[in-house]
Amino acid sequence: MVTWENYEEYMCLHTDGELSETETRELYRFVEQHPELQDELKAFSAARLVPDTSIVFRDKEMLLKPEGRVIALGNWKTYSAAAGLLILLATGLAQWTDRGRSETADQVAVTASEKEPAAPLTTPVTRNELTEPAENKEAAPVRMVEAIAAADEKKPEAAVLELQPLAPATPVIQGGAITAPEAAHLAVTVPAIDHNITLEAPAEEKEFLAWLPVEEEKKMGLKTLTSSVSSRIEQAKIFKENIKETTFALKLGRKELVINF
Amino acid sequence: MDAKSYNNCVKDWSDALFRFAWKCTGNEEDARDITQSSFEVLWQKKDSVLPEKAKPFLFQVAYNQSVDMYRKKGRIQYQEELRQEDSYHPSNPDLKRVLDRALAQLDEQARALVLLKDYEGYSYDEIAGIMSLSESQVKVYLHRARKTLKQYLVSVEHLI
Repeated sequence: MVTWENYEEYMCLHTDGELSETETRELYRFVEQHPELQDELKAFSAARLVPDTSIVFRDKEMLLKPEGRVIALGNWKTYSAAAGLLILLATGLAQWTDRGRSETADQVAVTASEKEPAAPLTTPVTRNELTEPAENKEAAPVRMVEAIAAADEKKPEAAVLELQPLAPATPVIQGGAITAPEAAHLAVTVPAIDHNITLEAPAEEKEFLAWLPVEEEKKMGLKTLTSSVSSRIEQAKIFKENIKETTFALKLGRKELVINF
Repeated sequence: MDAKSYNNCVKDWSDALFRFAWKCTGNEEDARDITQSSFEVLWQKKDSVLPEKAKPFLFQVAYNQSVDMYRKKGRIQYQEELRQEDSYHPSNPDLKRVLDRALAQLDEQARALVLLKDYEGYSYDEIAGIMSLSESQVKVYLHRARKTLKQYLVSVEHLI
């Protein structure tokens, strides 16, 4: 309740904005009842300061700080050690992977070099027997062009190429300047190893090695070589799968670095 | 508090802090120094100051620094303003300027109380926290300051 003893306090509280609505009404009622206090209430109300918004701090930019993420390097030794360890780990991993690959390649090379080098695959088939011309009765020469043509004609039915015997002195170019004996030497001939040989294409289910026209001993070498390569490829695949599912966790103090492959 | 929150404080409160420091010390350059050093302190203590407490923290630092500066330099600036009062022409009263002069009549504590209440709208409790006083002390000192200001205004009106 506002009285003569506390009206100044009420006026101060009113100026400070600390009075409730009820208290404010009580104060106004008291002032109405005592008009001589109206000037005093106005004076108290006028004694309230108003912020001078024309005063501004113009050096704000000077106070602003960069908002980018700042990494504290207080314990730089720990971070350096961690970085070195990571580099070492990554380098070792890369070398290990490369070594696995190179070992596979080396083994392939070694297996190939340990065995007697296989004779050229074309030797028994495409060897040009210029030094053994048509006199060889058993190796009746055939003209390659004609043989291929004949094979092309028969391929659709049986996919079998039959080598047809050719007359020994058949000139290649009729009516040309080349004589018959010279033509016999110039003609591309193949030795007829077996007249009944059939060059069937290897069936999918047959092994590739069985199809190759090389000696059995060399076939074994090639078989070892291919199996070695296959096993290395399988190992590399398994290693790759394992690497994909590997997780490395490196804990440094309260920080934990997790690397997923 | 991170850098972004700190920068928001600079944008939001540097003007008010500068204004408060200027009115407390009565000197623009001192107010500039106080504002800068207050924000430097905030940046140094950013890990222990919550963003919502940054404003009262700034005003507390600024108040303490202005008191130190005031004690070091005395009432030099405000004495100059008091001399200006002699040339005050009552026929053209400017309430704002009169209030500024009235404010100069107060001691540094009462001035800070009035400024924190009127400029920033702090409650008695908040002012008590900033100025390291009890709430009742704030109330008593502030009412005393109000009466001084009112008396000054009434005396000027009498001059009019």
